[in-house]
Amino acid sequence: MIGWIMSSDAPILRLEGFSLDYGTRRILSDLQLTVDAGEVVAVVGPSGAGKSALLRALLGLSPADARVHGTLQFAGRDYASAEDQEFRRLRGRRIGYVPQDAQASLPAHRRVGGLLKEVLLTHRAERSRDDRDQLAETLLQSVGLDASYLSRYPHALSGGQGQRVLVALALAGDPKLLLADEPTSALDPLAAASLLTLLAQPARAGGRGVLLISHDLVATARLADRIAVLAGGRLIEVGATAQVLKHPAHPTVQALIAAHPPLTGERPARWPVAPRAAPADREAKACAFAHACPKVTARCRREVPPLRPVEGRSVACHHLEPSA
Amino acid sequence: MNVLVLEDVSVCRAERILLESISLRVKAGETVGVVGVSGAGKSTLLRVALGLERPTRGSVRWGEVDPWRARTSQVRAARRHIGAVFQQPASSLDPRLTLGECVAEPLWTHERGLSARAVRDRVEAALRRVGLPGSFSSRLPRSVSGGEAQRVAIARALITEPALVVMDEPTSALDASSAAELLNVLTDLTGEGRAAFLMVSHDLAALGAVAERLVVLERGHLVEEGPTARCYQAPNSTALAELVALAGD
Repeated sequence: MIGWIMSSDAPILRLEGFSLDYGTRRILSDLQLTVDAGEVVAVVGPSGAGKSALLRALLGLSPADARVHGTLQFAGRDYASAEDQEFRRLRGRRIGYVPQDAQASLPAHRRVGGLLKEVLLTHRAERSRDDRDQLAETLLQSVGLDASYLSRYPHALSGGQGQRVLVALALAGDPKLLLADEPTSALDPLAAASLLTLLAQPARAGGRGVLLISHDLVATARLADRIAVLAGGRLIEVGATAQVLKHPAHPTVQALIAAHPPLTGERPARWPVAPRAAPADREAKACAFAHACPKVTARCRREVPPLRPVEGRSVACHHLEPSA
Repeated sequence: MNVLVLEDVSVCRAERILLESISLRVKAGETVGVVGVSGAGKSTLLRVALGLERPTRGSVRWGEVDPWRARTSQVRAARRHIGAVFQQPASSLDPRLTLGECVAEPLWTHERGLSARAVRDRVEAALRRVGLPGSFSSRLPRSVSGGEAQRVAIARALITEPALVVMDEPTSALDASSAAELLNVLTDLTGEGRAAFLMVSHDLAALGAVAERLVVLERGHLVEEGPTARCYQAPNSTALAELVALAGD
């Protein structure tokens, strides 16, 4: 097995000026984002923001007409123009993937134990069979399921248990980076909260990087160390979770947070609706929110605001003064 | 007048108790929220309300009609007064029909013999009630967003002017902006008082926006019932207290 050479200071994932096109359509523009060892980063945005396209690009599973520009690095190695073969060596082994829906992702005719052992045989072939069987049990325990679940079929799992099995499968290859696509969207709030705690574990205890994707800014992101808000294919605010949630700087992020008013049981006359971003566009010459922003000026209609450092985080808005 | 009455309803399946002695009334024009974690019995309660699940014990009535005891013709006539909206907007609309045809579908069953002109007017009026332009009629389900599809599904549920609309997690598949827009539509609709709504959700904020009254389920039991504001400010059951604490973080 070839070791994965990691320079100690390189982040596990680094995107720099990263853009993605499907044919002539722009999907993602100029992303700057890192995930460090031991860190949970949440990429949050509405439907159509480009979240799933980003995940597919990180897994090397973009459609055939996709083109990547800029930098995409895993542990300091460049993958922006990597061949499928190279991504195949990453998937499962270096990058674990937790899909959205357990019932749709787990083959209905296979037991949990069989699935786990198959992944272990693929990625941990150097271990003995007994070792792998033991490892399967340990993996299940690490997601809070006892050995009796080895013999279960997917249909006999609750939504939360199914997601836990997906996490165990994603961890089976001992990856450095865990990618999770809306892992809690099918769960009730209690099951969602406990799954999120579980997803943070590999980062907190195992020194892995975790990248979560979600459309729920408040509920999902609160377990992350950092939040990156994606809209219209661009990152509009990236910062520490507490800072972004309590003191959002970008007007649209402020509106998104205002759309989660405290729970009083009083019926609001009008529910606040955050403005939608204009679709990603390679030739964009305006801020994606120029059509809806109350603060809009001529400059917003003329120039795309770049992501710049503002008070300890990064924000893409012409109205905020960049820090020195 | 009650549009829906559940009296001492229990549902058992394969020796599992899904609902135990549930009594619930929904009055004309009111909006009742049903909350609980997965497995609490929310979906079973909805199936009972829609007449899709026969209670093992107890009775269900739509107005005066018991769907399991009344004559077929009566049940069929009563069914047009119940509309349903499901969780997944994408899978609840027939992909081969235009959105106008989707919305008109209940009329083909319940009001046969309407002229094409009358159907078109009814469809456009139903679309307007959910804030969509009449031009949506000619579009196909795949050309609209999840939030728009869900509004079309609500228009379809409303087109027969039902006395009760039952909704299963209508916002859970939507992102924040689409959910907020849908909640504004629901606020308007529930405010009209033309229909009563029974809405199941585990999104307390969404329920708070539309429901006057809340019913809390836990493992098949009704553990709390009361005005939504009171329930959120001072939950009596641990089931609700836990959910309120999570939402309030």
